[in-house]
Amino acid sequence: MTFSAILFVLLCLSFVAQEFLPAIEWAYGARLFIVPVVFFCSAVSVPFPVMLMFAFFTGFVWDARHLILVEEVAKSPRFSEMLSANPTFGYSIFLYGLMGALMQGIRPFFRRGRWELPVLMTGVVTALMLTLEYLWISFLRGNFEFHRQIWVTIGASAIFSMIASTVMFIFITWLSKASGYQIRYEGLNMKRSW
Amino acid sequence: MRRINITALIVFVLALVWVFTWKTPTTQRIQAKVGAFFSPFIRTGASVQEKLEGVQTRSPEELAEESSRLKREVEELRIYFKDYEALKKENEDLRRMLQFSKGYPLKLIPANILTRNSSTWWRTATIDRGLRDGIATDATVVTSEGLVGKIAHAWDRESDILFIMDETCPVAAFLEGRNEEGLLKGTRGMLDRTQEMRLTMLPKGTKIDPGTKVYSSGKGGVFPRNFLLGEVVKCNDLELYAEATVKPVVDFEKLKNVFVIDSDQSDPAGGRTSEVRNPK
Repeated sequence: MTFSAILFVLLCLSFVAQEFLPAIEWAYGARLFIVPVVFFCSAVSVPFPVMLMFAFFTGFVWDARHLILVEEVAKSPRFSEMLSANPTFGYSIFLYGLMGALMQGIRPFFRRGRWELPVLMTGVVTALMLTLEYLWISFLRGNFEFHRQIWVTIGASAIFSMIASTVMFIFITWLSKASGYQIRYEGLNMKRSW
Repeated sequence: MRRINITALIVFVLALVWVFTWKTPTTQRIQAKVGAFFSPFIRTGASVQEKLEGVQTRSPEELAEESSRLKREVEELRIYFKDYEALKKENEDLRRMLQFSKGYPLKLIPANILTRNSSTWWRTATIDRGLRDGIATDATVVTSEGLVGKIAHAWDRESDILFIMDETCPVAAFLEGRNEEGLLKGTRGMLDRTQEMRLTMLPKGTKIDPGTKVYSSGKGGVFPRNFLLGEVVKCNDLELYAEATVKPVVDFEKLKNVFVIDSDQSDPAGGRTSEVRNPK
């Protein structure tokens, strides 16, 4: 409980920290997404229900801060200036929930002190989330356009996430020890004898 | 799967569906509250970034403030005098023709860009003016060079601009000295600073000389008429319509200061022009 509460505070602080992180111009606006990194690292170390709570909170605040909502203004059908669709509020909650569930799958590795896969997975999940986001937007707007810049942005963001996640995993491990929390794999409890 | 996990998943899905049912005004109110909460961090973050980039001068605070004020005044004056005579004459002619009793003086609200592109797939920036300064959602944002975008959402002390180079912010446009009109849009996924825009829905067979200027037509219902958007680079004939590649006149990456047109004076009916008389 204490550990989850600390992680929640950490998640809140990551939103503040995100405001201080600039976009990298040479990587076409890619940046270190510290909020997703903290969420993904937390998702590995907490039980499934807590992960879902974190996903809801993170996605909610993320959309509230970053999502651009446009209302259609259609004075002239031919020259309407607001026709491109955007995802609805809450889509990040779904994405965070989905990505968090993927991260839950590698809890056994993290529990055994193996960080290679969780670190790699943080990068993969970051890239996957950005790709899904882009595909979702493209789907809503009715056509798919892929340029080299997209892949550079996604790739750079994933690498930044992987680098940051190493520090975050060390910190989370230290936190779990300090708060007396044991990061355990509950999925093993469900093993059946047949 | 354990029962508690299934229960948590069901609750999560129900809560998600509930959020999806919210209408835009509700979510905009939430965004305003969250934006207001993050306001001091956005400002501090912008200040730190500016210092790190070495853009901020090391002169005393008063000098920096004065410099900022003078820059705004210079920008304002550049807007006032740019093509003033030509626009004045055009306006007088139009007023005579349409029996306008009074013109539309625009009130400009100067603003500084704090941060840009807080999200990956939208071309946005945050400015240091908000609702308390008279800024409202959908207000037009300009510089002395041309049209920048619109206010995507405003909260108490800051606002987010959606640049016209974003695909979700198309502008109804016309070509200088010609009758053809089209819709100027950004290209999704083109994230570099040399981004070119597309002027679509031009009549098939349209031939345009490179360098032809593109202006807002005011017919889309959001932006006022006669703001410079860019210059035509090339023109292609597609299956149903012609499409021109346009280089935007504003360098969105270098933008520091912008002006927001006071939304109280908004007249998206197209009668308004970029003529600026007395901003005070």
